[in-house]
Amino acid sequence: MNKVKQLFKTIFFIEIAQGLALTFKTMITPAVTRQYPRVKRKPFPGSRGLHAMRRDETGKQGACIGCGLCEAVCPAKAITVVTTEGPNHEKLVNSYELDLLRCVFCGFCIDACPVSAILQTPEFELSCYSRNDAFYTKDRLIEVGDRFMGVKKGGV
Amino acid sequence: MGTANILNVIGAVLPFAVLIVFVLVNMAYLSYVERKIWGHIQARLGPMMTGWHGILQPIADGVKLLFKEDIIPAKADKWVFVISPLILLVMAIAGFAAIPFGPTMTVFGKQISFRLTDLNIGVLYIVALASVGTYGVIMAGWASNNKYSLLGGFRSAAQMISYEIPMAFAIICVALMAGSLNLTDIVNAQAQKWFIVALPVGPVIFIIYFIAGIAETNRAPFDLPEAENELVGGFFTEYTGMRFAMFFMAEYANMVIVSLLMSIMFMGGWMPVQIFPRWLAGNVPIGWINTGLRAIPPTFWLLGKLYFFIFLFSWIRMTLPRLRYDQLMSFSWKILLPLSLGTMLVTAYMKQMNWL
Repeated sequence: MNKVKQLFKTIFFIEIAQGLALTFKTMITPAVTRQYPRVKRKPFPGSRGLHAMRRDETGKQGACIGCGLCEAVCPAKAITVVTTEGPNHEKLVNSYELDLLRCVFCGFCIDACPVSAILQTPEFELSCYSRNDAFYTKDRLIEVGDRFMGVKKGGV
Repeated sequence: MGTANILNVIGAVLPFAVLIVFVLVNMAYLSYVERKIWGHIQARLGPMMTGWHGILQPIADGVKLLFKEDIIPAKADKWVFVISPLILLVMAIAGFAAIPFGPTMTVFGKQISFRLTDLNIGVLYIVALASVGTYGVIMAGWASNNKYSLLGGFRSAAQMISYEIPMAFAIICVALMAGSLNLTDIVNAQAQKWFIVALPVGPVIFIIYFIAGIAETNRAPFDLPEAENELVGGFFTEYTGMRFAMFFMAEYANMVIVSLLMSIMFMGGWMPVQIFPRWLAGNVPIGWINTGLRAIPPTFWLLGKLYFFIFLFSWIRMTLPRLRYDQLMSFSWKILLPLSLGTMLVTAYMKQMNWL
């Protein structure tokens, strides 16, 4: 009986017809394509994109205190922090460098930062024309922060 | 030269011009239409960037291919390499000469026939041209001096030989039913009943011809000669620029020819679709639909059927996976061939007994 059923199915192209019905159904449903460069999707809140640095309370410099926790936690070794001792025995952040070509955008540095100095913006279009453009110094990170948060003092 | 002479010249040249324009526009825009259909079947949009919904895409493609470097491989057989796409394309286009696009009509007191030649062996001519076109494929595969191209060419040769036989038997069945090889006569023979509904043999012949037609034009699921994921590009791997485009133009022209033949031989050509049978049409209140459908010009009916078949081709291409090579061969020789032979015998018997 089963064999007869199978033969019937083969002769009358039942399974091919089922397949054709499925593809036709897909054809008349709206496409899922986004016309990307023309229509951009709004990033979800909390999406992990380009990094930024917050200014400190004075508004004159980055909020980084040079603890080096982000450098320690970074799994891709993308962050380099160089600190020295200042004249009043305080810690000075000489350079804070982030190599986006190494970064995996895991967000561990943001979690690790005790003063929330380093942050991530929803910016996701990061293509650039040279390796240097993907190399973010402290000044550039603060610039990004200003772009996304305004030049207001303190606070996130 | 008087006005009448000029009119005569125009009258003689115009059909050729119209046909060539029709063929070229079809070859260019079928690629666009197909890409759109494929896109939507895969829940995509298809080409969207050039013009409104990508409507200028074929022109952009054509310009790009024209200006591409024309590379002929160093170890290739140059003469054969150059001539094989031409053979394919010429044979594909030449088939249009024998196809009638409509009945002879009288417009402004002048006889207008929608065909170039009224060939009394029209079907045979087109099938013969399709066979010669196979040489283009084999020669392209051979001349490229590339093992993948060669495999593609050989596959194509074997496939076309295998599928031409059931196709020829299907055509013989149609010729038996119509009593003629002339395409106009075949259409006129379907005035009462289309051959696709001429039970019991009609649907079987149609399915045989349809399957063989897909295989003849090397379309999926029978696209083994150009199987992208096995043979790179098959027989046209080594071709670039406009020569590469010629293969595609030939493929689309062949597709149009096969679809036209299908419409003409099975779907009544330019005969209008009648929703109600003739004896019923006068008695139903909405019988005027029949009259309305009959008012559409015959050529548009033929073109509508043609584009329906072309849609069916791409629909099937997007649905079915490619056959394995031994499946392809055993399907042709073990199933289609006996089936078409049997159908031919039944058709001949029924024709002899006047049952059709």
